[in-house]
Amino acid sequence: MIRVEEEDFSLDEVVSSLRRMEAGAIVVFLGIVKGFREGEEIKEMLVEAHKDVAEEELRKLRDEALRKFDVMNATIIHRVGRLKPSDNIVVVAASARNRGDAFKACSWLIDELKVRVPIWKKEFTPAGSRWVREGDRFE
Amino acid sequence: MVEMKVEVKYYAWYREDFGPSEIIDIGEDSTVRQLVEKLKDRHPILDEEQFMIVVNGRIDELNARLNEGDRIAIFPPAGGG
Repeated sequence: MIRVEEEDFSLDEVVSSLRRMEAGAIVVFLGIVKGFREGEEIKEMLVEAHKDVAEEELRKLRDEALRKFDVMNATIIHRVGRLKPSDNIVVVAASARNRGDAFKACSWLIDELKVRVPIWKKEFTPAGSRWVREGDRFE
Repeated sequence: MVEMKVEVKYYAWYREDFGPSEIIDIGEDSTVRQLVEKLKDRHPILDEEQFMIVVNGRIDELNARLNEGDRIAIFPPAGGG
């Protein structure tokens, strides 16, 4: 399951999509909106994407992960639009026979997503707004 | 030299810095690379960042030829997740 959309996702649905008789582990990474960054309050986040290209890139990432790691399947859903602190932003999940492979695939997928998929985040603070750029090294 | 026009659309902070889109005149049979050089002249920050260029919804090779009316999208470095 690969999706870029405004609606929130259901973790139950994500896990169900990966549950297989042959699988022994499903690892889920959930990214949520931070309420603070370096002590400054974040009131809101705008997530922007080029939906078609982002979904195409996510499918490529998923396919690469399936070749690179011993995993059975992977799901990636990234939200767009205006989000509040603690809202879900992204879920990356992978199923495998063994937990080690599922952990590795999940970790690789979120790292690659951050540098390869055309999605951008803008944070709104009481002092103004700023785009979260590569190199900010906030995270 | 015969000229043709392509539309370049910007995203995220590029949209705020350069405007939402521009019509760019380029020479007939220009490549993606030649358009990129033209855009870097207009917006020097593009020379310093690893931006992504998409032609008609596809990530194209720099040597690909452009055609009149092509829709170009310029993405800043990714920052999701």
